Amino acid sequence: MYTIKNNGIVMNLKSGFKGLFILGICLSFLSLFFEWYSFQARDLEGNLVVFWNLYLFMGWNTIFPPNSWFNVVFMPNGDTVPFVMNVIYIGIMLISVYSVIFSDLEYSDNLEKGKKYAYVHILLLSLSGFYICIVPIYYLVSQELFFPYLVYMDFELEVTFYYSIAVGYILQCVAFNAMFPYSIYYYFTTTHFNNQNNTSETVLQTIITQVQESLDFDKLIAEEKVKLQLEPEEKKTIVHQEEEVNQIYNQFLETRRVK
Amino acid sequence: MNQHLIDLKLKKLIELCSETLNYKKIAVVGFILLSNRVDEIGVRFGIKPRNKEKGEKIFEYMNIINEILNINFNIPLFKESMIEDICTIELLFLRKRGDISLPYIKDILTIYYDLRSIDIPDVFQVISKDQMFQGSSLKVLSFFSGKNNEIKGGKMRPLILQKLREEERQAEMSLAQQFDRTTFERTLQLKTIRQSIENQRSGKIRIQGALKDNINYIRSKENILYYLIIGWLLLFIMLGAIIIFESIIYPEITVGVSPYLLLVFGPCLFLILVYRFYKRIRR
Repeated sequence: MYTIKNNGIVMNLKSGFKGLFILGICLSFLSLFFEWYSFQARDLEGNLVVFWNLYLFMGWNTIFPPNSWFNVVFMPNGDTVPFVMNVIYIGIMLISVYSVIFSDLEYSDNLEKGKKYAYVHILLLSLSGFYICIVPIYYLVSQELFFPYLVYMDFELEVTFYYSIAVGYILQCVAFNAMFPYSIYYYFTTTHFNNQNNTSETVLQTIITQVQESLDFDKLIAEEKVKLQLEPEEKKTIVHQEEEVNQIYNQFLETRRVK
Repeated sequence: MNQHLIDLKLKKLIELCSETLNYKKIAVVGFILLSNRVDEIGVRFGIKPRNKEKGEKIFEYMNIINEILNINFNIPLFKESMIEDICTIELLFLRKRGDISLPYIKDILTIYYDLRSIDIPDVFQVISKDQMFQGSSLKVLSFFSGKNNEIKGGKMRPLILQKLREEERQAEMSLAQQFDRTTFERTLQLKTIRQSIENQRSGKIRIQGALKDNINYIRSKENILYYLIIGWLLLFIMLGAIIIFESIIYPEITVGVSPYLLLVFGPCLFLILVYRFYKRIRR
């Protein structure tokens, strides 16, 4: 499908994923400022009685005043991702964006420099994975805040509880996937191309066959033989018709994939 | 195809074409042979293939090969006069749609045979530590400096580097006069050893120049689509793992979250199938 012949497609493919990577970083950055988890409760009349949203930077937030006791009773444990970690994450994002925008691995002849950036990309991806996995396990599930979405009716309290992941978490998941292909590609390129020291003859032969133009000598010889046999002896000094001559050239162009 | 067989068939074709006066066919065949040979040389040197779709011409590609070899080894593989000749004939050939005169056709075939006489070195070979100093005056220095690993920080290091540079320069000068496979491979080895000692790295073959010109790199770029599939797969597995963990801790909610397990592992199965399908297509 995407063979070596389609360099243009592969080139655009890479540029597309580069754009996707930057978009992923932007989404990941935005996700830090949106709510990650929402915990609400409504009474039988549908009035909101408990409302808690988890923000990575600000922790658990509510719209109710501090004196609304029912809301305070259901306040989740105040633990959240350390502030420093979020700052580090943003720092890594900035380095990644810088490396992608200002240094193109393809045009660089210093792969060692690219390797450093590759580790940064991998760290960024790992942190994104950490947020996706650890936040629900460590900060939510352990506090009986169910994942990803659950509605629970408490008949004693006559209250319905709504547990749900929110925009921030979804954005982070999308961002992870947007960042994944380019980060891994970048990492493998920098490590693989420094370590690659053996290309077998078989691989080379395959590539050579792919790039070379096909030439069927037997067919060409047969054509000429037929021409010789068909033409009478006295007409051997042939003036080739324009159409026939052009056909040969057109075949050549086709084999070169110019036409 | 075997080179001897090509020669026999080409001879036969030339004989027939000269009887039918179909010189255009010989010209076209000559150009294809030349183009294929130049392509092969480029690929064997690890340079990206010629971009025929964008109309990259044979002489332009030869210039690229020369440029890369010049940067890395200070040697032009193709003589300037040869590239100029090909440039003239190729442009004429394209302008006249293959209708070129006999002397030009002869020139093309001569150049093709000249290029075929070039014994292309194996630039992808691995250099073992034992081979490093083989067949060189450096062997003595290597002996005195102990194990190869110790060379990097040893007292003999500057002397060895100096010797390596001298040998490399001599080899390059010899190559500039006459291209020879053995000398080229030796130059490549010397360069690798010197870089390895200078940069304190193991015996890797490193071709300088941009990555975009490397054929292996161009092929590896296609893998990026695999990574996209793997990324989604990984995400769904992570989400599934969290839900399973949750179900283990709170078994009473298993029924409540089981539809999500289906939502997560269903796409996983689908992605695995897509991955396998894509892999089969690429093969």
